[in-house]
Amino acid sequence: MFVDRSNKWLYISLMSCFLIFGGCASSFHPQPIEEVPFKERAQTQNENGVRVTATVLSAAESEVTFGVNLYRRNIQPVWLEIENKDDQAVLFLPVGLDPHYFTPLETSFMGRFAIRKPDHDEMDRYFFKGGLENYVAPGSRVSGFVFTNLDEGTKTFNVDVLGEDNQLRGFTFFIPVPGIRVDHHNIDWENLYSEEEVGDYDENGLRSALEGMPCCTTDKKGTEQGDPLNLVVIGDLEDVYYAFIRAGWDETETIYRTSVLKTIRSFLFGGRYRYSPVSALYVFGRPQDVAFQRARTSIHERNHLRLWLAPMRYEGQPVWIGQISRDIGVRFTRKTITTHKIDPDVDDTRDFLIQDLWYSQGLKSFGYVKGVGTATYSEPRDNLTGDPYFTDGNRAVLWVSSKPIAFSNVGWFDWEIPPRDQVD
Amino acid sequence: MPVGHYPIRLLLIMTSVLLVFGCASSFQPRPMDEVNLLERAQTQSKGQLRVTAAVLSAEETEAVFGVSLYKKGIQPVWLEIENKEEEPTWFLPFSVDPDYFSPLEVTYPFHRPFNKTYNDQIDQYFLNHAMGLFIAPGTTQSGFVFTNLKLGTKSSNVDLAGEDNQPKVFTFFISVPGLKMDHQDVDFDNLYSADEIISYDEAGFRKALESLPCCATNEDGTEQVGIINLVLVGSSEDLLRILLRSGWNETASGISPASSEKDILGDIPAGYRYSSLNPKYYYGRAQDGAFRELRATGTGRNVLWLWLSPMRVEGEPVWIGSVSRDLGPQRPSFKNHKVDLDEMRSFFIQNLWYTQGIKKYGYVKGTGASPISRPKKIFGNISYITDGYRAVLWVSDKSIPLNEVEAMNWEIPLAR
Repeated sequence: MFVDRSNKWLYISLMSCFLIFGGCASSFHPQPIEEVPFKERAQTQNENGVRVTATVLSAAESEVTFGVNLYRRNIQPVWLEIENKDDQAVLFLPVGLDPHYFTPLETSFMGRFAIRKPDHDEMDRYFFKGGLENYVAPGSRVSGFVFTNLDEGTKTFNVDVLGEDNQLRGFTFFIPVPGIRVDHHNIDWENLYSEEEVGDYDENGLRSALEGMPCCTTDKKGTEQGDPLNLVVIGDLEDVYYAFIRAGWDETETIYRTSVLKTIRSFLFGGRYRYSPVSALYVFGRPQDVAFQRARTSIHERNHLRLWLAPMRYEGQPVWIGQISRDIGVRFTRKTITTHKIDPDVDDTRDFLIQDLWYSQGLKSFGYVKGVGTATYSEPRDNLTGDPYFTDGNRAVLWVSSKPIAFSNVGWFDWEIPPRDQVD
Repeated sequence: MPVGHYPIRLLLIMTSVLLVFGCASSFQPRPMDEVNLLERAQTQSKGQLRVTAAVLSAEETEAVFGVSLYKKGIQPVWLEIENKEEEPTWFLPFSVDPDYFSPLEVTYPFHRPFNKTYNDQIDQYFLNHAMGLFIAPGTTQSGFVFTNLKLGTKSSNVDLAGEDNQPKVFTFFISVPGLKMDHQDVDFDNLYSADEIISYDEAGFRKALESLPCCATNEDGTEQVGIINLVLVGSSEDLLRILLRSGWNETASGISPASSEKDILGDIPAGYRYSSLNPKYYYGRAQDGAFRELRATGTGRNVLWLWLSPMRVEGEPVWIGSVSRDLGPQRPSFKNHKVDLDEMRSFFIQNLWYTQGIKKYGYVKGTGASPISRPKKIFGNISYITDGYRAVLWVSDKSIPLNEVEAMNWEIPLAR
């Protein structure tokens, strides 16, 4: 860079900025962890002589515990206590918890900007000491932090503990993280349907009942048809949650002031807002009960799905009807100014979801059922925002599971075989 | 700005608008058989199923699809699947890349405003050339899967599932033209003459590892630039496969860089992941292979240098390595951060362990301890802390489940 006269003022102002910031860098004052009550929310699990207690620190808790704002760096501390009551040593494997976990010194390095330099060494030691040991000797107990990538809503993770005798113990935790407002939390599940309204079905009955469900979502008045209902999910809310979150789907925030601001920021600056709200579509005269999304490289590309609890049961399990589509870009409309362009090949997105749940072991059985009605490439149908789509007319039926199911143990409803990839 | 400039500006804008619309070339993909895809294709068969796979280079992609997909980070993989069974089989593109692109997701950014004919043309072309999922008995299907771009060696599975939902897995390692790497230039078979090679049994091996020099140096050997904290046992093919499968990628050669590389790396998204690492020296020469692993957050990268040693243990080649984490460029005043090499070593073991690529591991003494109270400062003013152990890993050509990996009864790293 050339230093000429016009740059002098730039230098002076830069210098004063540094002075101001340098002056503001605070000293390192973490609060002793005994004084932060995050352990009150801890969950405990036992397996074969090993006890694991886990909790996830909220934004505020991690700021007081570590003296710096770790959430701003997308780092979320998970506190673990592992007790080994076995007579063999065990090893904790943090890669199983988060394949991209941060080391304590790395976390300290990333958080040190706000802390004055003379305290950096003390800070390094504090984080280093706070990190969790991997090796747990027989009869002993370790506790400490694993620094993970930030998840809001519900954080799901595994704690893998391997014994010296090669016995693998896997613990799966689902821990709600205080901070965002999620759609389904306000729904009164008990009173959605009366007992008489809910029909119990066997396999054939289910097939014809699903074929008779409406083809598409509607607008609020129920006068116009929107995206196709190309999804049926079987399982209770917990199964649905476990399966989708484990496959990498995120909950969505309800639309309120903060979430709208976050969406605009992500739109303008291209960052990812994994929990951005989805608009309401209507089935059974009400907006979706549950919505999930799976972010891709930017906000313009994400998969999202909406589910409505149907008045149906199959083998005692609730049945949901839903819709899945993939945003592939932004386009301009007369009604809403901008909207997301969906991939017109909605079957491709539907088939992606089947594989996604299958490979993440969240699927018990699957199949295809008619009911959407075909729409061809040359004569597509439109959704509510005027986006065209084409489909073979099948809905994917996904029976989900909260327990992992091996790839080859997944069952198959022998109903429809979707004809493939005909462009006409 | 003076008012007088406005008409000129307007004129410029007008001309550029005219240029863009007027000169936009039509969609002219070349017929598939004119592009010699099959030359680099690989074929595998299992029972009555055959899979042939090829990865298109930047030029081939542009020829076949008429648009530059590499610039958007998209790489087409061509597949041909033959099903001679009596049952149908399904191809699962998720196995090739869990973040594969759908054909119309690929074309949308290439759409032109107010040009429905062109947009329709590319949409149909991509849809027609996409690989189908359903392969009826006695038929052959071919087409493209649109995956995320990889240079160097592309490692992908192709999974087929029959009506019984039993998966058949085909694993491909296909080299993609465009990246020149260190390990391509090394003639591993003739690196050491027969009398230079020293064979060890297990006990002798442990001793030999303990007395290896601690560090890699700069070219003239005057400065230590990296701590040798890793020993890998296995053939070069197995080692490369397992590193690629664990998420490491090859890097451009820093020793003898190719001239065209800069252009390619600058042209693709996140091309920096392939840029060369600083050469380090051990055994009197620069590394035989250099790898980098990006992290989910974009901050920091894992880096790995490897050298083939003259040692053999129970007949297998032994590699010496230095693994570390680079936290990115820093202001000099902030350069006093410490890298916890033991955490990196532990991460590396788990990284390969979870990919089911190691059969045995252990720790040996060797580099000398540098606790957090006395970090070791080496070149570039970076402080390292370590307990002084080296990890020794035996890589495996077969997948080894998490709980079948054998732990050597050597050293146990001390508690923090």
